[in-house]
Amino acid sequence: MSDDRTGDRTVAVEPASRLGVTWGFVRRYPVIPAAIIGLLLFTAALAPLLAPIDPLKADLYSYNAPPWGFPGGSSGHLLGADQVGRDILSRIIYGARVSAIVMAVSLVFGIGIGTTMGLLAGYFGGNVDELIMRVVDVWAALPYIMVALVIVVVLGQSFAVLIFLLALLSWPGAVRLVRAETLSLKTRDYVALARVAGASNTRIIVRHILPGVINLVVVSATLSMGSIILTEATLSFLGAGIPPPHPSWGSMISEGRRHLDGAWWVATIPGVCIFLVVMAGNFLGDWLRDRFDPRLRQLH
Amino acid sequence: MRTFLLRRLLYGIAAILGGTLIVFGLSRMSSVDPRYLYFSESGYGLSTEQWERLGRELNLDKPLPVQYALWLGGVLRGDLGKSLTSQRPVSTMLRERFPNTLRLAALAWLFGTSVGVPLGVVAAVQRGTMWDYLGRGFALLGQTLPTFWVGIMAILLFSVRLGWLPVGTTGSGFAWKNYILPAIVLGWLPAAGYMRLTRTSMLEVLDSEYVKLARAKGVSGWKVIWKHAFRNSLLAPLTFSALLFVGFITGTVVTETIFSWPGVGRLAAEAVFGNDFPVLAGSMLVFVVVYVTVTLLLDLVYAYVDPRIRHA
Repeated sequence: MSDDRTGDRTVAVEPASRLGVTWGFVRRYPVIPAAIIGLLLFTAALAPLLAPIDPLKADLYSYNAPPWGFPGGSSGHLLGADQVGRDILSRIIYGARVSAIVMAVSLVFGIGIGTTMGLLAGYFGGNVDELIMRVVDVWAALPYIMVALVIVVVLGQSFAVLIFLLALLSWPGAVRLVRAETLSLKTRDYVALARVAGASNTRIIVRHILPGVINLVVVSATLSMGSIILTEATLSFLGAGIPPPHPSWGSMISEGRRHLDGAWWVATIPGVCIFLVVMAGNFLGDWLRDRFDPRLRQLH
Repeated sequence: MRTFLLRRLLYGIAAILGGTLIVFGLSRMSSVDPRYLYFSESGYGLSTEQWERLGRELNLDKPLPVQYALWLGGVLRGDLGKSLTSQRPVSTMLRERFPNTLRLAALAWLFGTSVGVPLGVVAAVQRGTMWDYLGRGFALLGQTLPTFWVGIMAILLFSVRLGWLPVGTTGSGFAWKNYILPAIVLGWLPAAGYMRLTRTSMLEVLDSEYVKLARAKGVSGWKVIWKHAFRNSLLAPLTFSALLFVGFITGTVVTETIFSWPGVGRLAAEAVFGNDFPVLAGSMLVFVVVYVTVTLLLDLVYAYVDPRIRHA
């Protein structure tokens, strides 16, 4: 949306310098967020090759070793070591792998289920719509974190439970978004024509409506990335996320918390990683949303 | 207005029933015998006699709907079972802890609104200036930094390094210093939410015809902002207060854990570590009731303020 207070300001045309062109590119496209997410996926894929040391290997000689460059630090542990001498850099790398896998799987499930529900609710309307939307409403009226904790205590801590919980996080948003779009798409002429031509409901939904909502699905998935990573870290911090032998950023912070006075780096470094990934995910999602769906554009 | 009220009330009751169904369903549908959730495994186990008595106490011999009705009746009377770790009644523990949670939450919410809303107004009025960027940076950090990490970093800086503020707990007597860090850490997320919502809404209102008219008539700058624009921009932040509250409850659990705050949130976090199902179920039900009540009240306020809602 245009801001009328800048309307009368003249834009100075500068000769394009190389730096200026690069800066313009960085401003226009989410280069830095994309790079961070790319780095996360790259690290996740190649963790065994990138990690200098086994992330689970304890080494009491390097107990609470500071990062390289700080007094007492060595290049053997670039980001230092934790309270039992495990290498923090390796744990960060493996933590990225675990987080990325959990995030991807739960996104596929959550967004997949949400999209299906949204399509069904929007297309069939009536009782189907009523039922699905009431479930969404009641679910949205429950405090997520408490439900998640109860489920973990009853079913135990495992990857399956965690993925299930994180999928629960993203589906209501997808249902609402896809339903609203389906409602408007199904009144279009081409859908009516398809019906006249004898296409079945399944065919109309899959071939004629789904392609119209897929952009929204991508946007919704990207926007969910940040909250999934954040929730996964919070659950891991509370001891209800990624099961213990696996390194995770959230549980690293939880362990480092007890050694704040001596070894600040144990809790600090994973937090910076979470922050960067969550921020990158949000920026990327916002950018995609603005690009794919100008109607949802916020005032900036 | 009456139908709106009634519909909202029904939603609230449905949500609370949904919460109890989840707790009950989980306890009865777990892969093992539900009795395992109600006694501590660390002991010597139970004799056959005790095992059967526990079964009778949980009404396991009756059909599921009857079990649910009896269990729900117990919950309504305040019978939430006994903690596995401390063997004390869950309802007593919750009653002891709840005031602490309430005090901290109220303070944090106060911080959130009193910082977030003015910041949003200033950012919108001074759009594109340093104030705008500062405000947006504050909101961005509040929404992307993990609350538990912010809390730990705050302790590291203000308690461990500088030694200005205590590390945690409520302290004894009027220990106002103990409230500062937890309230700010917990209040940052709502502050960020309020800031963004107020800013967006203010920008829209400032762009509207009646604000332009007021300006054209020569009403002074700040009077236009506070009297004409601000009042009308308050609606959006109000509607989203309910949404902000979900993150706030997560924040309560995490913040109380970090600052060793003796509230319901920390009780829940400890119950996770101790596998203490009765305590966790009780805390969850408390949060469900609080959450539903707060969102209901917010909706009523909103409907009262904005006639378009209650007539829709």
